[in-house]
Parts: sequence; C-alpha cells; structure tokens
Amino acid sequence: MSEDARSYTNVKWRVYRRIRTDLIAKLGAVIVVFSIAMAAFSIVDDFLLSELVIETLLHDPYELNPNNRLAEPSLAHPFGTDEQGRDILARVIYGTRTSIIVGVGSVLFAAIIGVSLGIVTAYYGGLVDNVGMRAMDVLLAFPAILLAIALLASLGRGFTSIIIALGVAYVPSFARVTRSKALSVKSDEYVTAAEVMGYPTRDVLVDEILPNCFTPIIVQGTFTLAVAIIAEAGLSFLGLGVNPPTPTWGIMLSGAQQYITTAWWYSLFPGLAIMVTVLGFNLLGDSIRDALDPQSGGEERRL
Amino acid sequence: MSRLLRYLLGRLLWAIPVLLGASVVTFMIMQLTPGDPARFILGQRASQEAVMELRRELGLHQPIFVQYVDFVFHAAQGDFGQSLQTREEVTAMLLQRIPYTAQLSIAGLLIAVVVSFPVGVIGAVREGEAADHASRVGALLGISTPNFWLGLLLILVFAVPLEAFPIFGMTLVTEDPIAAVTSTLLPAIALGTAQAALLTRLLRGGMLDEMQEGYVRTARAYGIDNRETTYVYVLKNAVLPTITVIGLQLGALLGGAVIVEQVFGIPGIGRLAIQAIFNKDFPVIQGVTMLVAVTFVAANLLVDVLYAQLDPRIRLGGSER
Repeated sequence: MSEDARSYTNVKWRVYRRIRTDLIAKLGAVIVVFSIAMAAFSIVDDFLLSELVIETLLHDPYELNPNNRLAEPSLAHPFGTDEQGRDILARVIYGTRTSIIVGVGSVLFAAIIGVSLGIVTAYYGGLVDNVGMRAMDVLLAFPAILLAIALLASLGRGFTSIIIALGVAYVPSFARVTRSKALSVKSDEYVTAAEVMGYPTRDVLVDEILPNCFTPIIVQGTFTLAVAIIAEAGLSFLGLGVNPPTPTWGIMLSGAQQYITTAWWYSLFPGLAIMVTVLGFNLLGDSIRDALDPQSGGEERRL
Repeated sequence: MSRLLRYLLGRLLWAIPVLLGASVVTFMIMQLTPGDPARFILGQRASQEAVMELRRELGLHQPIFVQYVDFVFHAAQGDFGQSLQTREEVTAMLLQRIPYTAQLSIAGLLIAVVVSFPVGVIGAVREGEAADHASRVGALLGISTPNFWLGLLLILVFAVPLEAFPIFGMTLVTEDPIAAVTSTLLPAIALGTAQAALLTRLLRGGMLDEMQEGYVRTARAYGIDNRETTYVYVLKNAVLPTITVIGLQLGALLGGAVIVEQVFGIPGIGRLAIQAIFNKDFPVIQGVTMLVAVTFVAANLLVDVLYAQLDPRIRLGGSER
C-alpha cells in the first residue's frame, strides 16, 4: 500500500516541479486554471447572481440590443457585438463553461468506462480480453467525431447527450492506454503478493493495479480534454450541441459565419477563445507527459 | 511471400467482425432513439395510420433480430433503402456526394504530408535551434486550432478580398481542373492543418528517437556522411511508423471533412449526413455511417499491407501487435 501512496505523491510532485520551473508548463497551467475559473465564474454569476457581476463589469450576455447590431470592437464592447447586439466578450466568457463542462464530463465518462475495461481485460486476458478489445476495434472503425454525430442523431441535443456521445467516442483510447499499462503492472511482485495473500480480485484491481496505471491515464486525459473541447465546439457549430440560449463558442461561430464579409470580430474572438483554451490543455499535457516519462523523448505516443 | 499472404489474410479476417460490429452500431442508431422512431420521425401531430404505415415501411413491426439481419443483408449489397425525405435511393445519393468528400479529404491529406515532412525533418535536424522552436510552436498551434474556425479565418483573409477563391461550394477536378484547385485549396488547408501538425510532431519525435540508435553512431564511426545517415537511414526508419498513423488520420480527416464541408458549403457526404440528422432521415444517416466505417477500415487494411511491404519485420514477425 505504501508503494502506491509513494508513487502517487511522487507523480504529483514531479508535475508540480515541472510547472514551477518550466515556462511552457507554467503557461499551460495558467491558461487551464484561468479557463476553469472563467467557467466557474459564469456558473456562479449566471445561476446564483443572475448576471450581476458581468453586467456591472461588462454587459448582460443575454440582453438583446437591436440598436447596436454587429458593432465594431470599441471601449464599450472590446470584442464588438453580435447580430442581436449582444456583447461578444461577455458571451465568450459565459461560453467557457460549456466547453469545460462538456470537456471534463466526456473525459470522465470515457475514463471511467475505458479504464475499468482496460484493467479488467488486461487482468483476465483470454476471452474477456478478446471480446473487450474487439468491441473497442468496432468503436474505432468510426472516426470519433462521426461516431458522436451518429449517436447525437438518436440522443438529441443537450448537455447530457453531447457528454455521452463524445464520452463513448473516447472510450477506446482510455481502454487501450490502460490495458497496455495494466498488462505490464499485473505481473509485478506486489500484485502477485496481494493475490497470494488472498485479497479479493476487486481489491487487487482497484488498490494494486489501478493506482499504478495513473500516469498514462492522466496524460491521456489531458490530451483528450483538448480534443473534446474542439469537438464540442465543432458539434455546436453544426447545430448538434447544446441548445441555443446557452452561450457556447461553437454556436457563436456558426452565427458569425453568415456575417463573415461584414463582421470579422464576430468570427475572430470566439475561435481565439477555443484555440487558447485548447492550447493550454495541450501545453499542460506535453509538460505532464515529459515530467512523468522522462525517457520518452519522442512524441510517438501522441495518438 | 506466403508469410505476407498469411499476414494479409489475418488482417482481412480481422476486418469482418469489426465491420459486423460497426453494422450493429449503425443499426442501433435508429433503435436507440427514445420512443417510437416512426412517431419521432413524423412528429406528434401525425395520424396513427401514418405512423403504422411508416413502421411497416421501416420494418419496425418485425422482431429486432429479423430487422437486423435484414439490414445487414441489404447493406452488404450496398442497399440502405430510400431516403425518408426525398424518396431517393440512399446509395445513389451517396455516390453523388462521394467525389466531393474524396477530393477534399485527399487534398487535405496531401497538404498534411507536404507540409509536415520538411517541417518535421528540419525540426529534428536543427533540434534546439530557432527553426526547431518555430516548428514546434507552429505544430502546437496547429493541433489547437479547430478546423472550422481556421476555415472561417481563411475565408475572411483570402476568399473575401480575393475573387479567385470562392466562399461557397467546390468544383470537381473532372469538371474544371483550375477551378477545382482554387475551390479546394482553402478547405483543404483548413482540414489538413491539424493533421500536418500531428504528423510534424510525430516525425520530429521519431527522427530524434532514431538518431539515438546504435546504427547511427556506427555509421558516423565508419565515416559515412552525416547527411546521408540523416536523410537516408534515419528518415526512412522514422517515416515507416508515420505511415500507419496516416491511416489512422484518414479517420480524423473524414470526420473533419463533415465540419469543413459545412463551412465552405461543399455538397459532400458530411453535409448530407448533417441535413439527414435534422430531417431525422435515418436510412441516410445509416448509409453515411456505414460508408465511412467501411472506408476507414479498408484504408487501414491498405496501410497495413503497405507497411508490411515496406517493413520486413512486420511480415516476418508472425503475430501482430
């Protein structure tokens, strides 16, 4: 047991040290913390304070202002206004929460199912392994975004649907990563020791094997978050994401498409928000991977 | 050669259960729709007779197993039934749209390969220098940029001021080669950039790994020209694994095409699928889903074959993975 605890704190410490010393890692961490803070702010401000803070500092992100349609960026509206006269900066800030909630939600969904599957298939091997991995092959026969689109066709729109759709699409990557790590972990001495001591299989899986698979799972999770945020924006852009009154970067961009010739700011800023957020997660992912796995100089594990 | 053949046969046999599984997933799209799909398609105000009629047409009155067997039997012959919206044969609709998506995806792949090779190689050869930093930053930005936003930016910067690039639609190579190039270039860049960035990172990392290998030191010790070692041996060995990834990326390209087609108004299968989803046109959705799965699996088979041809370790190694 102490072995698990030590390797886990060690992991945290190595990531922490990396973030303290490496400028790139620091930038990634700052962006990630900032976007999570923005998401938290918009949730509190919207549902508890009914837009009080954002209205005082900027504008109400929902308020229609027909007299001020597609206004260029100015001091009053740093990012300009959209076709309904709404402040784009305020909407970009409020849009953060959709990206973060869907990103974190779908990654958690995929990780819980994928990691369980990976550990079980690796531990039991044989038929269980074969069936489990064939099932993953089937999911991998579809490009992730297309699988999500197909699932949304029957699930309909909304937060839950999109989290499930993207979650299912990302299950195989977590299953594969966990399985290959668990395969090497399961023959380690402490696992054999736990088995010999007669621990129930469930405890062996959860207490012995799982904690030692954390490293690749965390790396996979960070990168998948980046991919999921892009995917959510894409699905919202297509009109398959969350429902319209909710501010989201993807829906803003699909609105902006119509006014591309007249209002450059409308398509620039929401996209910039996506890019910066995703960049943050990618930078953090790179740094975590480098910190935890110094011997892998190459980037062949990116996929 | 017989070993290669056996390897290929093994891969082919792997594809059959995968595609059968994919057909189950595709079939389930309609089954998973909550409530009665026929009612879902027709809406609340439709009469009970109309709903019953549609249920009969979709085969929903039969046991689910019979429905599935029926679906697979027809799908295997390339028959996905008729569109509920237009009454057209789904297969005919697909065939009409495939050239657009194919042209876009191939162009996107071309851009990814053409950009990533020099950039990745320069990054590896000039490791730690300014050129390397530039290529790494570029690659990071590339994987962080959503393709549809890049598409919008390209329209904003190039297509709006320059008349040479159309904002909407795409011309096929077979119709007008020059118009095809100008109308495909921007969407292909939008689609290919993320893939180019991924390939760049992969190739750079692969080459740096290869340079640590013993044979590189040996070659240097023998006095073989450093350039020759880098550009012939190291590059060749680093490119091989990249080829497998290109196969996997084809999936990402097809998925990306769905979104990019929407940005540039390209009448490909992605646009067809999105329209079908809004119209609840399940046969069309199933047709597109199955077509993409078959293409993707076939492409990966092809890549495996190519890989086995190029790398003797695979075909002589016996078991896969």
